[in-house]
Amino acid sequence: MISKVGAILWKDILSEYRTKEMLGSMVVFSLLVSVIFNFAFPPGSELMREAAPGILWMTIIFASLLGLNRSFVYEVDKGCLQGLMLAPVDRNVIYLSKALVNFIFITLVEVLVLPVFSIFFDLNVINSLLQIFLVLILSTAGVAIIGTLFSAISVNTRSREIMLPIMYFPVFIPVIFGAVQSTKAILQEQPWSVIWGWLRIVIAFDVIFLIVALLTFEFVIEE
Amino acid sequence: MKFLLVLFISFVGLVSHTSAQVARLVHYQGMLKTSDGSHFTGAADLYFSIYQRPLSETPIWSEQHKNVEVKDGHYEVLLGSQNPLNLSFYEYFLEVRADALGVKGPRIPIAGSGYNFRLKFLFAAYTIVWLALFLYMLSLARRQKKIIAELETLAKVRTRAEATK
Amino acid sequence: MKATTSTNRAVVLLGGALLVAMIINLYLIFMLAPEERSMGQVQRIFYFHVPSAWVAFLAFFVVFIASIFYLWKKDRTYDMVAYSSAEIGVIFATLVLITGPIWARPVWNTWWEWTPRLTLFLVLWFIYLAYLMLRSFVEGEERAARFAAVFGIVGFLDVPLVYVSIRLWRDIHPSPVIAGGEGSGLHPDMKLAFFFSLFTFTLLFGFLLIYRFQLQKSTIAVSEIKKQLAY
Repeated sequence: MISKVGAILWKDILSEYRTKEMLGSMVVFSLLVSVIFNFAFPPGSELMREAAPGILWMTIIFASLLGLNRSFVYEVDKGCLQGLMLAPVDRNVIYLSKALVNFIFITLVEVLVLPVFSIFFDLNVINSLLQIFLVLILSTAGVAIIGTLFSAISVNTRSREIMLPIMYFPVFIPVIFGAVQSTKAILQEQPWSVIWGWLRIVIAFDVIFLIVALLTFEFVIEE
Repeated sequence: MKFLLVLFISFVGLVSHTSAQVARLVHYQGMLKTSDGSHFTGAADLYFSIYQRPLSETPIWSEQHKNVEVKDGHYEVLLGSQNPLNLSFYEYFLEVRADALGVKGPRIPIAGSGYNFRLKFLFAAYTIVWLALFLYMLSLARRQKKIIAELETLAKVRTRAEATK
Repeated sequence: MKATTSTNRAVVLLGGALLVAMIINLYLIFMLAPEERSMGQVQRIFYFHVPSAWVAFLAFFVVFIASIFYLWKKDRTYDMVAYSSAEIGVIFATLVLITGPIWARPVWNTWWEWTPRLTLFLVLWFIYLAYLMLRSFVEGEERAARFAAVFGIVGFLDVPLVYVSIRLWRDIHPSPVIAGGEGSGLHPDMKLAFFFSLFTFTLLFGFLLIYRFQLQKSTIAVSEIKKQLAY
């Protein structure tokens, strides 16, 4: 099964590598949003540094919505999905590969945006790089897990661009809390127990919804 | 549907039963204890101030009552007798100070212009709940009627279609 | 159509019981329950604010169970139950969000506080809304039912996670105003009024659910017949 997941994964990565469409737009969007948020605060204010974790994650989430929408649009519009389903693969293989693709791309965007962000908002990220990466990985996993499932649904709706955020935002709140608060705790150098308190919620979210997604994806995909 | 209306009307009667009078003066009865906890007896200068929130800094109203007679800790004053109480809000927090004794009471919630304002909220909430449920049941009933009418016309169309076969 | 006469009877009986319960409930809330010491009469909102919240949760739980059964058994009836329950649940959630601020204003001097319950209800309301929007934005009824079922399952499992995260957040930023204290040491008459109100609202939910379910059943029947006649 790993090879099957790998095959679909490779196909998506390859097609993106050729156009760099999605990745490019996500990165540009994130940078733009960071700059604009910068203008919303008085220059060099404490307020900005306090709000930085929140702004960082809002930026990542909005950018990832761009990417998530893409993951199924081509499949449905060009009929590739039927092709995928005709192949003798378990439905969950499709889900896992799509989720992994999203995870990889969003993580890539985060890695590119984080240094720029820490410069803009004057954050000391280097000291706690490992912890921040942990938060990034866990939260992006949540984005990929729920986002892939929901975009498979929303791509079949009438106004797909609006349906994904409407489904996604309320459900994603625990991870938003977890990511923002743990990032804030890391930057404020609070004890590990505080950070872990928030990360626990994100991990629970990831585990629960990975299981749910694996159980229900076939119902979303079937014709 | 109709019974909701009946209940709604019956509520109006209940509201008038529980309503209270409006007050511009507040008759306040309090306890005055000295810093060691014993009940004070004698004459005290009491300073009353009202705040909008438990922790606000500036009072929105204040009044000083000199030589208030205190018997075994108990006293009563008429707030608003010197400085008119014209509070149009909902709930306030009263603080009593006796500077000579060096005591200051905790902030106590009191009602603004009597409980009448609060009653408006109760009434509003109740009305909205009943109105919402009533309207929902009305819409259900209307949709039901529409569906039944549709079913009847469809049944007629179907019998006609089968007759012409 | 023959089944409807017996179910109609059940509905009428339930409706009658509901009417009696409502009248008793009103008496208990407004005549028997004593006035609360610190909040005054406005505290009586509690007797229908909290039961509304209970019904909103109950309705969502029904959506959850019905969604699971629908995906499992593929029986359309479960989907009809889910849809009906969601519609009723969103109404009660809206009522919670309206009566909450109305109660908060005279008691806390502010319309909104990010208390755990109100915030959770705001999120719950949005999840309900997304569920209902999903239903109407998807073409093909069977598809809409499937998608909605998946979303219903995800949404319900999300609610406890949301609550936990809000609570943790509130522990860091506690509310600065005096809390209502509605649960602390209730007078026995108040307890009676509250629990009876809970019972009445549950009865109301059941009644509305059956009513709405029958409507949904008829609606589906109509569209089925239309499809048949189109051939």
